[in-house]
Amino acid sequence: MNLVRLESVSKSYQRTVIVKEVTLCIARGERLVLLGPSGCGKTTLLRLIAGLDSPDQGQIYLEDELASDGPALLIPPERRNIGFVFQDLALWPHLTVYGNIEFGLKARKVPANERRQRIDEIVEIVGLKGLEKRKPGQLSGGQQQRVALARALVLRPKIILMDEPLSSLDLALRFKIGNEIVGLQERFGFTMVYVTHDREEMKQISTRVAIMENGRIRLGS
Amino acid sequence: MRVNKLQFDTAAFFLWGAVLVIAVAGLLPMISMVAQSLFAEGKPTFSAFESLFHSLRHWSLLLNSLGLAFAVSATTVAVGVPIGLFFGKSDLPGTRPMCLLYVVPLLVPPYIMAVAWSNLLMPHGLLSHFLSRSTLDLMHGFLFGFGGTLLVLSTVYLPIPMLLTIAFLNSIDPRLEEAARIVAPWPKVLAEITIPLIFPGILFSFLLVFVLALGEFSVPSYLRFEVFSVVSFTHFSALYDFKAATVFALPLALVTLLLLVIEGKFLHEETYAIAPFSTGKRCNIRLGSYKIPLFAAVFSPAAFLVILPMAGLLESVQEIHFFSTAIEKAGDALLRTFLYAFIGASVLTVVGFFVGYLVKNHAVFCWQSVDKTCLFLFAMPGTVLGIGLIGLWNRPATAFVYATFLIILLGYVAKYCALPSRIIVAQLLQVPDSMEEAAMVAGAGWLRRILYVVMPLSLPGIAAAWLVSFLFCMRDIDITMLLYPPGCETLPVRIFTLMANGAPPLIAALCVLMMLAVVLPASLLLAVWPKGEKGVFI
Repeated sequence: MNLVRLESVSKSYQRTVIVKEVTLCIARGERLVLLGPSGCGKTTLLRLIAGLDSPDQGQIYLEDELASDGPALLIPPERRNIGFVFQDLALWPHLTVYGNIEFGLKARKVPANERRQRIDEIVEIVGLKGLEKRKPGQLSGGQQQRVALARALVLRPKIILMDEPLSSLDLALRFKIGNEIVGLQERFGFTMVYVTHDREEMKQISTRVAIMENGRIRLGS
Repeated sequence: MRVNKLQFDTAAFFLWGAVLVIAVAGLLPMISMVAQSLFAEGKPTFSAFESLFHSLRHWSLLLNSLGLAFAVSATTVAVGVPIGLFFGKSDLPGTRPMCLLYVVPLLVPPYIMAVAWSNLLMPHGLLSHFLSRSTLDLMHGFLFGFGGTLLVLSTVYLPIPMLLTIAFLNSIDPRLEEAARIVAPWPKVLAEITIPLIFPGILFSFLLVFVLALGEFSVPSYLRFEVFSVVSFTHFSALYDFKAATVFALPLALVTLLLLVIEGKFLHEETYAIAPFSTGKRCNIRLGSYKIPLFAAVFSPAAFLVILPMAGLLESVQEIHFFSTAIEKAGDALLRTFLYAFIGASVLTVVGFFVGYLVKNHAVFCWQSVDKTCLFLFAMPGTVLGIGLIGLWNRPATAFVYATFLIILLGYVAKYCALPSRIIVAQLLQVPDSMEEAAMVAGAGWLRRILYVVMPLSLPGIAAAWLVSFLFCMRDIDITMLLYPPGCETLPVRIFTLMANGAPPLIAALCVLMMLAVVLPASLLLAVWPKGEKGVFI
């Protein structure tokens, strides 16, 4: 069964077509890398899957349930059980590392004991132990990256969407965290859609690649 | 970008020139006022201030002033922030016209709203058709006192938290809200992400309304609620007791100073981070089926606070010929008001631009003091500033200033410079430093960089700074009331002086005229100003 299915999805902004009739299936447990040049519509496609935007045309199914039908948003973002790692990470500057990770759990009304247990576990896994009380501005780039990952992982989503999450890091750190992401995916078994324009990153991360160009998926292997 | 060592004479000339203007227009009069009150017959004395601490009346006045200012700030923030959230964060229909409707009371001299409410509740006013005489009397009693002053001042200053909320919402990175939207519904995102992120703006708007309400004299004076600013004004204008007026002004100055210290300590540079110009990228709440009921909920306060008193004002004009009488009696004052506001806004924009530039670039060593001084002068009650200016310039040798429009212009610059300078800082922060640096590398001198790179890139901010300055000069009563020389009376002053014994329909007609004079240009500009990207934030 496909976890995500897009059928003839199109999206325009200010009369410019960004995504053109994209049809794509994403299988459970795979690491799909969306590769393409800047401005080709990769980020928009992720936003459509997450429900942050709605398509002008086409349907998006999550586990065979219709989530977006044209402009109608049938399942709001918070009920899609999706994790999202933004390109600029979007860590909340007024919350601590702990607060950033805890926010989603509180929103889902996870009991306090379980929250603490899950946060402790994920903090240990991503190597943030001892930094829980720090605010994002007090962390290095690599540590911030780990907070963003922990924030997405702690919710145990079925799919995590990553929008060029390593683009702001230097080459060595990018490779190291790339390996860690693969390790985490194999450990937890979530599905991953990973956007990049870097071919090395693609090779490191992907189990399948879809190439995007001018809003269309040209090639999926 | 730093312009630390002003190696170019042109830069030093313009930037230090702006600092000098602020010092002469605002700082010097304040220092002179305090100094004069500390000397009697050439000897230093505190005698003028002794009565301040010993009189029970003074403490009661202070309590009235602080209580009123606090109540107005709390009310405007409690109502203005939710309205600002709807305007700035949702797809509510009719946002622009409704926003303008809320802003109208801020654009006109504040006492006009007091006159409007008073006319509405008169025995033959608009509400007399719907309410019994006893109810009207009861409401009339409520209006003339603390309750009415609170109602009118809250209506006048409501747009400040509303507009600042919208501006701060505009400065939030939409990703921060989207990251929360992935896991939480909008109410939780608003409560835990959006509102904490704009909290500095909310706090700033609270402080701003507090100091403005503290210094406001025309509304408490009309509605007979005794506060320091009214007593200070009366001592000066009616009794010409300079020392007593200074003594009464001092507590207001000290409270203002204290609040600015708080602002500086807790808000730092966060209040610069507003983005009054839309980036076109926002994370908006779709109201869906709630659109109509929420529209009604947001419109209702505007209907009660703005439309109802305005309708009462219009109704009390009674006959159309009162408009022609109003134009006959005050046409010259109206033209003068436009002219003074035009000149005032232009000078303010030029001075504000250079002050904004030096603050943004930390271009002179005392940039923080310059910024704080501007904010202090803006927060300072206009009557206090006016008394200071008179004390400094009322001498035979400086009659060319004191007896002409120049004294009003100095008052405008001192009182309102913070507005254009802060708008310019907010705009300049959105222009990357590399723009000016690239021009510098290409060999352009300072003035050329300013004229051909910085100014064109800051054009929306410069236009907004001019417009805001124009509107504030148009509505000014505090400064002009004290400073206007013979033959330089503006319309707000003419109306205020006629109110004591003018016929109510004529006063109402003059108020409507004043309102149209301010609201029509503002509406026209808002209508033609581009929306969304590169436009204003609404």
